Amino acid sequence: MFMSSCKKDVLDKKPLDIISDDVVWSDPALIDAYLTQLYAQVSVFTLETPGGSWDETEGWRGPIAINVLADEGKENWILWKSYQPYKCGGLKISGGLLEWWETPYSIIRSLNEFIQRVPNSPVEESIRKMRTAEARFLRAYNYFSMVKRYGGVPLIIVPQKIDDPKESLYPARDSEQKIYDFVISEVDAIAGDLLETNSSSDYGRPTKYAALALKSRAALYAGSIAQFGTVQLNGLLGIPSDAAATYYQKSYDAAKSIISSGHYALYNADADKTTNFRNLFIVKNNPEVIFSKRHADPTTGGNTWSFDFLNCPKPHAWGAGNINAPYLEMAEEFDHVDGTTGTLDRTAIQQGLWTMDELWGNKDPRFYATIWTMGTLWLGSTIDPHNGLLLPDGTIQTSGSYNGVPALGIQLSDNNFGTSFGLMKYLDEKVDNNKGPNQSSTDYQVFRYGEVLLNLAEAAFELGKANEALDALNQIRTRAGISTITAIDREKIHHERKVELAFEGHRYWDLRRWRTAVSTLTVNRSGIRYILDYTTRKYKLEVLKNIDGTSTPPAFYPYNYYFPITLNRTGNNPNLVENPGYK
Amino acid sequence: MNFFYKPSLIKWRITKLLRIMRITTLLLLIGLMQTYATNSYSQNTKLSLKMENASIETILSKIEKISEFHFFFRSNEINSNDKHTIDASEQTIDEVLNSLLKDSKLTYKIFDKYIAIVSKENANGNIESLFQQKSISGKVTDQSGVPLPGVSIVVKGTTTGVITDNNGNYSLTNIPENATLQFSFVGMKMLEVKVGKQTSVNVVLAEETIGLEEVVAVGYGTQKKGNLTGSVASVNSDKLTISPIASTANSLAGRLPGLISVQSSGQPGNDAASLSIRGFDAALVIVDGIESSFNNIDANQIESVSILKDGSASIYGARAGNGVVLVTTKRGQNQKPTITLNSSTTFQGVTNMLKPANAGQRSEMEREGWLQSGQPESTAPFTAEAVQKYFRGTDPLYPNTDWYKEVMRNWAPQQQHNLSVRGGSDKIKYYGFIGYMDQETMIKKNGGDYNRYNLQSNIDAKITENLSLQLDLAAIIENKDYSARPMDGGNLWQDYWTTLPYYPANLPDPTKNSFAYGGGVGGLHLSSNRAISGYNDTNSENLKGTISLNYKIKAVKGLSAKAFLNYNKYNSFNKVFHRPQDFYTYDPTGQTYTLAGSYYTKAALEQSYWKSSNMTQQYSLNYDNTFNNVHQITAMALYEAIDYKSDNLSASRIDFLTSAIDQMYAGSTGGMTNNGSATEMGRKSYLARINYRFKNKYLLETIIRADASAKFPSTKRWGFFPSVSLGWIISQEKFMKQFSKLDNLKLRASYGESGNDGVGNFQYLSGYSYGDTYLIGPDARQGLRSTGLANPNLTWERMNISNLGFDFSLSNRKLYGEADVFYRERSGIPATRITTLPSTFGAPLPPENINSLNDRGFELNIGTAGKIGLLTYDISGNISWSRSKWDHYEEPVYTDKDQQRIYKASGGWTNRNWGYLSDGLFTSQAEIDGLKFDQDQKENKSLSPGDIRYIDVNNDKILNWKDQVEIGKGSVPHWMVGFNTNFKYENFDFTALFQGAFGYNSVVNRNPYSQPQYSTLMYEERWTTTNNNPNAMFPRLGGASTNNLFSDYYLKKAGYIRLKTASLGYSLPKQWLNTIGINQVRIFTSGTNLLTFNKLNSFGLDPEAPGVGNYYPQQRTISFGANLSF
Repeated sequence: MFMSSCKKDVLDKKPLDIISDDVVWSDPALIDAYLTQLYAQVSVFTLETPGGSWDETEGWRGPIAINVLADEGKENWILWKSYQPYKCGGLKISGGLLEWWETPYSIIRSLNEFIQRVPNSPVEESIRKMRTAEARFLRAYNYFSMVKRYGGVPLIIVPQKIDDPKESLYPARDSEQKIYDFVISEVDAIAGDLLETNSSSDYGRPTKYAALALKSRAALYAGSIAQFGTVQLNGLLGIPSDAAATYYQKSYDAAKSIISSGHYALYNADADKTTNFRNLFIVKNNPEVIFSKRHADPTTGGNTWSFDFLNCPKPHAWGAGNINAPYLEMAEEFDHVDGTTGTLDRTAIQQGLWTMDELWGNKDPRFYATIWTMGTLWLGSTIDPHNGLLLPDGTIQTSGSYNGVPALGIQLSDNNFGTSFGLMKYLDEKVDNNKGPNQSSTDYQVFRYGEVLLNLAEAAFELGKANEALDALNQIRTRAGISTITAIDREKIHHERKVELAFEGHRYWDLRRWRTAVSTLTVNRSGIRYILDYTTRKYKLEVLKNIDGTSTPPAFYPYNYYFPITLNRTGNNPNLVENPGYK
Repeated sequence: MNFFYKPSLIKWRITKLLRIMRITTLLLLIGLMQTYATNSYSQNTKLSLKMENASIETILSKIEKISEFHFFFRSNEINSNDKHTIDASEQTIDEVLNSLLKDSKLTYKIFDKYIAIVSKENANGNIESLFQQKSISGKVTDQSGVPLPGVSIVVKGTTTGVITDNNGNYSLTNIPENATLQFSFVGMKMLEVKVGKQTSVNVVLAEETIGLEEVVAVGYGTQKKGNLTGSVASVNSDKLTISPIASTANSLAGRLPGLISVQSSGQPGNDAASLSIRGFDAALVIVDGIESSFNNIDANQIESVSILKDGSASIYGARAGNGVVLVTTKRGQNQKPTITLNSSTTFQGVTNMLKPANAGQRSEMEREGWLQSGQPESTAPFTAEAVQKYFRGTDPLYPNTDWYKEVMRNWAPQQQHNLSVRGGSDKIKYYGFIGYMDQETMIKKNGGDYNRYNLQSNIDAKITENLSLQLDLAAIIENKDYSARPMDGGNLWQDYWTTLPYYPANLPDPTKNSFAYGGGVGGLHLSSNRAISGYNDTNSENLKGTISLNYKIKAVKGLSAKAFLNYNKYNSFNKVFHRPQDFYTYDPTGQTYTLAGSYYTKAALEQSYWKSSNMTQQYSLNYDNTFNNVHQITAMALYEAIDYKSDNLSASRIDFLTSAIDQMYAGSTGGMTNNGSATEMGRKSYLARINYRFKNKYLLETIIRADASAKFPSTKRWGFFPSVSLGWIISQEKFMKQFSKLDNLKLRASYGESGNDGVGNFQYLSGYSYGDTYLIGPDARQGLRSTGLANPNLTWERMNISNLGFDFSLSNRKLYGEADVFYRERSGIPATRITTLPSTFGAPLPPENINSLNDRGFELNIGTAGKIGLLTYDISGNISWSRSKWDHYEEPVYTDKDQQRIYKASGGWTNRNWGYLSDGLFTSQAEIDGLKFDQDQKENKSLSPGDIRYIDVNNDKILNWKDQVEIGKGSVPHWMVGFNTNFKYENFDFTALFQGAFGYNSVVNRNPYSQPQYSTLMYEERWTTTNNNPNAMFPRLGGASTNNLFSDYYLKKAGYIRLKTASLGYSLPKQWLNTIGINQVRIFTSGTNLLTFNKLNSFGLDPEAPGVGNYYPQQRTISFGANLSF
């Protein structure tokens, strides 16, 4: 009993839950795991999901943010609003919206370390080259994600040491242009080292064309910022307008390389155009996919997301769903198959009774694949968000039933029918939404061929190559199943982008780079109310104006074209200049 | 220092026995000498000494020194004023004494080495009569007549003494005339009785609540309260058990000056108050010498709880900086076995809680908020007509369910039963305890409960005269059975607010669950019901064993060696089983059911197992001795080593074939998971403590401890923590004797250094742990996450605390009290430089010992005790205050003056709230139009009457972050008060404890913008166009987003006084009981949180509520029970 501690010193202890640094850097498998972690941390791959708090993960509400901020739809749940307050309150100096600063700098630090240490590691030469290129791709993607939010940010490409000189530890912001240039030049430098194409063993790794797609998008953004924006803060923000053509050209070139590689094509497997456009987002690794954030079957544990659970119509485990309600204006944006406008005569539709076919018939097939509403087929029956029953005596019943016909449809979420529209794009009918969140296994397409064509169209148009733009647009429209157009203008390109890429996280950034957000995102938009007529089983319609409320209507101030750096960050680093307009 | 339980008592007994033995030995010797009077030593010994003008005593004492002779005499027979000169050279003792005593009335008798000096008149009598003048006997009892065994009786001014036997009887056979007997017993007032001519003296000892003889735990030992030099507060078992309380921590509020307690939850098994000594961070808790929790120990098995508030905590070194709570369990006593049985039933009800609005109220508010936020009426959740129908409640299409009534019960039962046996003899003493407690939740149907079994066996055995053994075994078995939906924190209480009254509680088809929303779970009635939604059960066992040996080293008087070994094991098994369920809405007109949703389509199970253990070894040397009756020294040197280990394992499966089987095998292997991890840690310490007492007046204590912890790098492991404290018992000074009413007055001063090593483990090593997974190719690949930069220099925080205090007692405790003031400096608080190094650095910086703060405060405890006729009373009150300031807080150098004002922490109080200043609500558009600044940064266009009006503090014509000012002092009280009353009248006893807290702020109103809690209070107190009250409790529903700003509209000054516990007891008369062999029967009724005077009462909150969060509400309890002992 005495001094049994003599055998082994009581202080001779080590942490049992960590792997030491030297073990990691001498084992190729662990080095690979190091990079895997950094992929996993780039949550912005999926619809700009900010990550961080539990509410901002892919497995929860993160992916809805970007789509409720634009003029596509609103956040529909009443009891918990995460992003609607930003949309309607405007973005303040305290920030908090889609923040992507601390996380990317942490990822970038690790990437910088990876890029620095991998050359001296026991990883085989060819793999080493490719992994370094992947790391640089991730770094470029993160800088692009930052520059589109904040404008110029400090560009850090070597891991800082704690005893580095103050100037480098407390960096000033680099210019917006410099960041865009960095993203573009990195793509140029690494494209050759990346995989030419994916095979089933490496789906999920970026290829040469994923890098070029990044370049095509980033250069397009840089081009439009040069064209439509203004240079501020001594060049920290904005790009001189004379540089616009250069960037459009880079975007154009990158898109061209992707197209001419022949590896990709618009998805066109199904004869039915609506089915085809829906399957584009459901079928994994289809020819249109250039790079995707992949998700797994929930039974494998982890790597799922909650897109279906949040957006589906009922049945739904919580009796909710439909978190992201498209506006009536978004529905109207979809034209008819023959190319005529989808805009409704609001006075006319509020008189008389309507069938769904009269209202929504003959629309662009993408409409049915993007938005659900009254009558949309779902799990073998039709979606029913009717709100009220018009009785033979002309009164409207709003609860219970009348001769077995319920006064309310089942699509009620939080006592609320929202806009009577729901989001269909990316919904997978195979998911059992009665199981709760984290059941979606669809891959999220970060870059797809359709976007590349639209990038090409826009860049070509701004470069004066109208015919090429027209051709690209018509490829998109033909695949969609809508009539082609014969003449092109900027508005048509913007419209096509809005429709084709609806709810894919593009619209908010597009409005910002085109500098049209102030006019577009301050409009109070509408929804619709379907009242079922008991006698005819047609619907009386009511347009719900100001669906976002009038006390705090949607707000977007000119200074919101750049997110605030925020007081915390400028407070920690006096060399960081706050973006103009934030007080 | 001695390691035995109540060592001073036992030590005292032992030394007394020795003294008695010495006298007995002498008498025996004398007898022998007379029989075989050879007197050889005296005849053979030759003395040489030379002294001038010395008293007889001095001369005799000198002879004792140079020879082996011992003298016995009565000091009153020797005139010390007589001076003698002696000049002897090689003389026999006879020659010396004859010369010395020749002119006095004294003579002598020699028995070998023992010489009695007696008056010549007595010289002819039997020599024994010198020591055996008188005998006396009697019985000692307590106030209730129970005999007291083990009471020490000493003849004042002598070392003669005896101890009462098991029946409280004693006899003393050789006491001088006019002797005064001193009766003392732990926990009793010391009593002096002049013997006079009596031969029988029966005494009744009165209990002493905070007596100077009371022994308190002080860390690795005990100390008499009268000898304390540090700031130590303690409370005894009887106070903790006044009212049956499930969590012992909750019984301490208001009892110990300097202890701050906040009970933020009422959840059975999870309702322990968070305790903080003097407002410091979490204190170290030591139970019977071992670091462990004490919430789950039955209060009945606790002897006392002490808190070490100042440098006296330094004995625990690197862990002690935030103070130490010492808990000591009961031990055996040298008495006949006493069996005690306590049994009680308690009813728990909510103190104060917001109730959800009914269907009419809620629908009206939802509609109102919708319209007032400017949204179209056509989409409003309810028509005006529907609201009316909900109010009327007659239309079956418009049900109104009171979910509170459906789900909650007003009184949830709790029972507590325990049995203990306590007794022993001189050789072996024992204490055994078995207790059972069951506390049900406030959920009506299958809401689960918390139950606990406590077992304890403490044994002290004297193996040989020098070797004693202590053997303690304890077990705590706890079962926390809750609903699968977590009851702590948010979830279940979110359901409380999201379950809608518009749905019926039951459907005509009883097999179908009624849907009531509940944010996805279908409703509180489902999620709270274990039979419907599943359960979350945790079973844990804590097993403790201590073996300790104490060996008295004969060679050195007062020296003993001790070895102490403890093994503490904790196992916990958690099982969460989710049952699938569907919920339906029902249309009574068409009599149709519609599936509205489901929660878990198939059953799922998660299990986890956690085990941890620690082994503590202590080896010590203790020394306790008194020199020349005036220098008392106790000293201890101790080595301690603690070894910690823990492992855990968890697994889960989903998609069960059937929910009828809640075992892991029944789940699908697809999607199953498992995980596990382990930790280990160790500590090593050396410590020494010396207590020195001079003449019972001057006290000194010094402590030094050296601590090493494995969590730090080997070069930074060792730390040294010294402390010194001084005490001066002024009342013992001669010059104070004139103040005869002053029983005790003691000044205390201390300074101590200690640490806090709760700064994370192994921060000096960097590395990687498993992180997220990512899909590449067909597989989910594992990622490796960096654990961050390492800091090889991280070490513990340091605390230096100074304390000044005094204790006093007047007129036999007619007035007594203690007061303390302290100042503490805390440095090396870990903080990361993240706040100063920009986030562009990209890695969280490791914690460094950067921050520092200082605390100050005081405590005061005053009481009065006594007796008026048959009424005994003891009334005391305590008050304490503390607050801390950041000395250095790692933060950016703010250049902006408003950032500096609002964010700069260094130099300011640590707990402050910042927010906007409100100025009521707008009551008219004219007021908004007249606003002289832009409140909403939208030219005030979003504002309407009913919105909060703010103050543009800096007058810059715009309301923004710069207008924030300090609006509160944090959520932890700075002032704590306690007021204690104890009364006894004949067989009745009554106790009441009032406890209060002040100097903090509470959020009283949930932000109405994001997650409104539609309560009845909100319905009644909200602003409406008809209730156009600028001071309405809630701003207009659906109002401007500026109502969302954190302001003094929501943060209010809090404070309360509550009747924390009260108890009324009646002891059945003894004469009834004696015939059936029962010693005592007391029946009682008691309660906790019975009355609350609360500043925030009108907000519908308990003052200890953690804001208006979602939480299990605090409970008020009423108990009925009986105590029996026989």
